Amino acid sequence: MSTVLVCADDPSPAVTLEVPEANVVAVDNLCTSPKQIATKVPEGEALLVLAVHREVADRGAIQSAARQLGFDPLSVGIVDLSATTGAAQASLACEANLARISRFSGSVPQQVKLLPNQRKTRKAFLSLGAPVYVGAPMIDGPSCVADQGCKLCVTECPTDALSSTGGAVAYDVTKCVACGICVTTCPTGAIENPSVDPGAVEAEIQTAVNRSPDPLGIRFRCRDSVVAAESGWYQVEVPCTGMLTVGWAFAPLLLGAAHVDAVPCGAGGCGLGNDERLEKTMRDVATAVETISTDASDLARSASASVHQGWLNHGSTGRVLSQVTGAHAVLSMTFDTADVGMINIDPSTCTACEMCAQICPTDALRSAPNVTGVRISFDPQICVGCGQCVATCPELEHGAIELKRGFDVSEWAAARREVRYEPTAACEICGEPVAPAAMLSRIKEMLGEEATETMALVSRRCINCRGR
Amino acid sequence: MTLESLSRLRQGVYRLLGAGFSYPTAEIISAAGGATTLFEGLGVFDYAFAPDVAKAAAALANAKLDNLGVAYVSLFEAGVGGVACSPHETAHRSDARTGEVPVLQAELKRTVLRYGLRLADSSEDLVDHVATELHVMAMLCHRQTQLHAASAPVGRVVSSQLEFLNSHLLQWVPGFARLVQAKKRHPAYTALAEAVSAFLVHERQLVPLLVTEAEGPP
Repeated sequence: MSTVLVCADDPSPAVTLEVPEANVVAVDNLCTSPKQIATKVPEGEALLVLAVHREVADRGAIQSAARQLGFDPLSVGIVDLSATTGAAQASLACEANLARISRFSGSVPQQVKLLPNQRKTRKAFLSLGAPVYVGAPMIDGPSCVADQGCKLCVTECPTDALSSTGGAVAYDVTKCVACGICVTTCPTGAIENPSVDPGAVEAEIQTAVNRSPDPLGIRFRCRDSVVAAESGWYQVEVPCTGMLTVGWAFAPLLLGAAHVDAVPCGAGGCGLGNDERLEKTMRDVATAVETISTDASDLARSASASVHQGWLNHGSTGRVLSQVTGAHAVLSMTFDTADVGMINIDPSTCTACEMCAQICPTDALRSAPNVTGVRISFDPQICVGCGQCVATCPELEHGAIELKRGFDVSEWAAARREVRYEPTAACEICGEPVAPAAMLSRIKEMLGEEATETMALVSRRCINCRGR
Repeated sequence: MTLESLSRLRQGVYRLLGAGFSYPTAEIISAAGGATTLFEGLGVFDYAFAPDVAKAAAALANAKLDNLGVAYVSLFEAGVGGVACSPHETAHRSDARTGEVPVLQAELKRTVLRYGLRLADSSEDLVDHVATELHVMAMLCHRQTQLHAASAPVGRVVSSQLEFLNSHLLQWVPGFARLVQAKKRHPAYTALAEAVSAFLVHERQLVPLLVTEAEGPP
């Protein structure tokens, strides 16, 4: 059983909520006196949602009361009654929030970010309210590929809270604003934030869509923004809408939503410039919708038959696009921002050095050297468009490799394919491979006239036989 | 909650953790029993570290003195092939062979003296012992409490806290705590290690905010 406590105060009149399989209790002054939840929640209760009026509720005090009751405050669902149009929408929000928090897997002390309580007043000299905590990122060392040269999270972090040091990523919680961008940027899914668990968000959206009697739009909004309630739209809170990817924007359609929308911060804009980021993503989404279909609701209908889950998971943008473009046999889209990519290798300039395959964090580019040659293959289904292969290519200036952030139905369907084969020269003594022929040619070209003697040795004998 | 009660709470938590990592006595176990009620009165549940600190206080209060003493020695004082989890900063941050131990200890003594503190002659722990360092922070918090009570500026003392935290405690105690947790010798020490880790993670975020607060316009 779950408990939903509903604030029965002004500014909006008390609403009577109906939430299946939950004990719904109306509580006077819940927004202003959250300590009383201790007497309202049965002992041993696993799930708790509070429906409050955001503008008057003290989130810090709510978290404090929840903590005292033995809850992890990040596991308590908060529904803003002011952002709902009435009892039906508020009930739906409570049910969807219960679905979200039921997926909460816990947090550790390193995953909470302390925000000073803005309700602190100078009137009561030196008094301060209970601080508000939000989920903060934590890097899973074994999954992180910083040691292979990946710095995507470092580059994308808007506050320089992440830095690259000696093949690892260092995190400074004091600079972090817990915007979630690193979570959706990480090419290997090594960064987790308990406030933005993709599975939990997906459960919330799925429940809202399934339980709504009418077609429902999904509107992502920033944690700090206040968005007016609108009939037919359900608001999903994320730390910052700048973290949304093309995949996240499309995924609600696959879950049955009629529309998708994302609202950036208020009139003052995002202080971190993340609204620009959101704008780019949504522009890509609009282009894709235009390319695929003129009516997003058609798209939703065709896609909602799918029963697959995990659309918001790391690296799933390609799968999402594959699903939404299902009926289109020939379709190619390019994006500015999408975390999907297609690789093109130019055999006339690529030396088959394999560095691109070695650095690829998802194994989308893979090399298979053997005695006769080097084969490099590419799987677009797992490419996250991170660009590490391009950044590391020593022949980039000659156009050896190109990354197109985008999606091609036919390429996707083909899955892994060979993108480069280069024969290797065999050692004249032992027969072992020396180096790819193209690489030897390139070295020769670079050495020019001085190459004669060195090249003769390098190109005919492997590294073990050169001294003989 | 006021800044004064917050500094009082932090002082209490540092003292509890410091006492927990000192050689166990009946007084320490008895004091741990009353800590939770004391902290609750100071608004501990407003802070994320509350569950870990409450758990540590309860584990310490419920421990049997003899068992705790055995676990203390096996964790922090003796062991085959060396001390299992050295409670000394110098063991974690220096190479004794290069003679860095006395240098670091001397530097630590100077720092503590600069704060106007001195190790009591009766103290059995060295200046770089985890208990001593936690008590240094407790004393700095105590001073902050006094200054708040006198409506005096606290900028200098909270800056000292930040300096000591960043230069010493955060440099090695989280690693030390991980070692203690991994050994699982006694529930009280495992809980204390979790609590000190959670508390210091929180302090890393809180103390810079306190410095900003102290520097801000009145």
